[in-house]
Amino acid sequence: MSGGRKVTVGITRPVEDGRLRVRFLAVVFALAFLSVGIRLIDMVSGASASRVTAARAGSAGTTRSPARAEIRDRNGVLLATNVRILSLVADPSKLPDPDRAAELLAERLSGVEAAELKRRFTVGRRFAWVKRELTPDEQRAVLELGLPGLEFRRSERRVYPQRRLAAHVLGFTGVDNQGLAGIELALDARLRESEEPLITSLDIRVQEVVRETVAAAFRRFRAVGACALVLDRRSGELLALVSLPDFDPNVYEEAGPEQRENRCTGGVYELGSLFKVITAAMALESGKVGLHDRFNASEPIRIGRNRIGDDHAKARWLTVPEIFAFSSNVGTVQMAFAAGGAQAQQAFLERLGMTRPLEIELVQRGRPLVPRRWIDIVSATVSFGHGIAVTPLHFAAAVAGLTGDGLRVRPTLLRRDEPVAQAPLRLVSEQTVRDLRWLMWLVVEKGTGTKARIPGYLVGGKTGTADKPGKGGRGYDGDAVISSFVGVFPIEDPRYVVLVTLDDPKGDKGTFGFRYGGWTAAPAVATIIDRIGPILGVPPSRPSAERRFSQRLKIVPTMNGRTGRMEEGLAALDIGR
Amino acid sequence: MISRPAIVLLILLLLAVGAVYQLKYAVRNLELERAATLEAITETGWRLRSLRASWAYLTRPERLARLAARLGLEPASATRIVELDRIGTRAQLEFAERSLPVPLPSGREIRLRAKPVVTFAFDVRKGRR
Repeated sequence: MSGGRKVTVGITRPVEDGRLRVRFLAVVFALAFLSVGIRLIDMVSGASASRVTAARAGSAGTTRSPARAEIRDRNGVLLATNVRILSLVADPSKLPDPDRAAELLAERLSGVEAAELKRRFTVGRRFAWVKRELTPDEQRAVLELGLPGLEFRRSERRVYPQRRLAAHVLGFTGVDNQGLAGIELALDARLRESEEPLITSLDIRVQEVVRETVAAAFRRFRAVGACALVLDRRSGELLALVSLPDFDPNVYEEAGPEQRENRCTGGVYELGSLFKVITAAMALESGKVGLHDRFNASEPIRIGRNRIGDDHAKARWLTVPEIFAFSSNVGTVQMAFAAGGAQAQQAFLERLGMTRPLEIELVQRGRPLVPRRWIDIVSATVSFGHGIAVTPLHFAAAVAGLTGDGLRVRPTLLRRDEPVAQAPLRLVSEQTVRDLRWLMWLVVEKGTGTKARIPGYLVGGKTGTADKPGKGGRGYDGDAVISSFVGVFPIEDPRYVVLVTLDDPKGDKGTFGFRYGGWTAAPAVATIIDRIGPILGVPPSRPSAERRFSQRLKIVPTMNGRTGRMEEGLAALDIGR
Repeated sequence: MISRPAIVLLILLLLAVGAVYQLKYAVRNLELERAATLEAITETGWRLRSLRASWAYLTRPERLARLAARLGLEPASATRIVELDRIGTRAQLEFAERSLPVPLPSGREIRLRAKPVVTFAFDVRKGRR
């Protein structure tokens, strides 16, 4: 005790000392009780109490930042986000009138049956599910009921407000918010680690036009599958990518493998005559073949035991523009051999990136099937797109490069705000680019692709109708085809490449039973271009551009060798070599 | 008895205890307030997210197209776009609208109109023509 030192010798001292200590202790105890009292008042007073409850609720672990970043389109439109969902559970023993409660809840919650709820409520358990995933309106309705014995449970869920619109690009996530397909899987780490929204290259308006148009063609021609895409050839950005049949990523469990397959990047196909774009570019670039050259297409050619003929046979000598515009296999094979055959082809395809899987922000990336031995017959069939299988996106990227600057285009699904840092790889010269644009314009103007003509824009393109491989993996089905059309617009200074591929379409009355790419896929491409041009702000082609293209065209009368009938022939003028 | 400095010290001690007590609870209250605010922010963030999702769902192009069709709107095509320099001026238009008398060799007179130099023009009063 502090008083101890001052105490002098005396009999009464210890007594006084004791009193003092008792008094001191009394004060200490009084203070202690007082503080407890103050704390008690503090605790029961309203303001503080509610804060405590709020903080408790907050620390319960249900409220936190979302587990994944949002995905948006190039203009900021929401494509995927996490929302918190509420589920409703009940403690039937606390419900005042379980039967009445069941009826009230069934009235207010969609997909909930009163009879089923009554059964769950009367089993005598202390826990029963009422409904998983309540909408905000339903939550409000339940709160307004004010029934005791009901409790909300929170969890998180990935939602795709655009539903099936961009299903194959976005993919989907599992119950633990882990990416399972598409960009969700390919960029899983990025989406988990950063809260910043992921901006894709898609333009949802374009995506919608493409999906609607291709879905119409898909239904009309009873195809088993379809792929359509729009590629900005300047940046390599994909503005739209549609694969049919598709699925709703919100309920991906219901989708079968057919629906989940991404036919634009995952599937490899022999694209048939579309490949003549590549052969023509190679031939023109080699310098050994010019637009004014002619090849004998009067009869099928034989290579060993094999015979190669034409679908749209003209049975006469054809100029290079004619070979391209009428899609002559016989002429194309000769062009390929004139340009250097197998060796030149291999080198050119390698340069185009057609021998390797595509680099794209998806997991479904098809590996091209390239011939193992480049014997003559293989070389011949590859020139018109058989014996080599690539993804539609491979091909679209190649066309973007060949009709653009002549530089390799690397497609992407993310918005590119700056050009690619990688040094561009030159594929062909600017002269070849100009010639190729003209040839593709010719296909739409006079050749097999006239159904892709639209008022307003000059379109270039190429049709393709490939035999589908047989089920066993050897030979061809003989009945099924893959019909496609690649369109480039505006062809005088290309901005966008549009590719539509239909798997096993059937002709109808409107196409006179034809299922060629020029009859099935080309009109779809025309519709797409007509509608996305204004959306993307592409000015209509000027009459001067059309005159420039037409001036290179000279129509000459030609005798059809087989029937002896007069018809128009095409020759190139002003080739400018 | 307790010396005066001791009493002063005791009072100071009590004051200090009181102050610390106050401070501690002030801090605690602030912390609670902070937690509650953070909670409210997160909560609002979640509500925003679901509102944005609803917005995106309600404005999806397919639905807008359906609604627009009900109003008689249709998709634009390339023919609806024209470049500024291809639209005629008012003077050109007015000239094209005026018919000029032309005497024929036979002595008869007919009235001819000049062809507009532009493909089409936009008249503010009459709309497209």
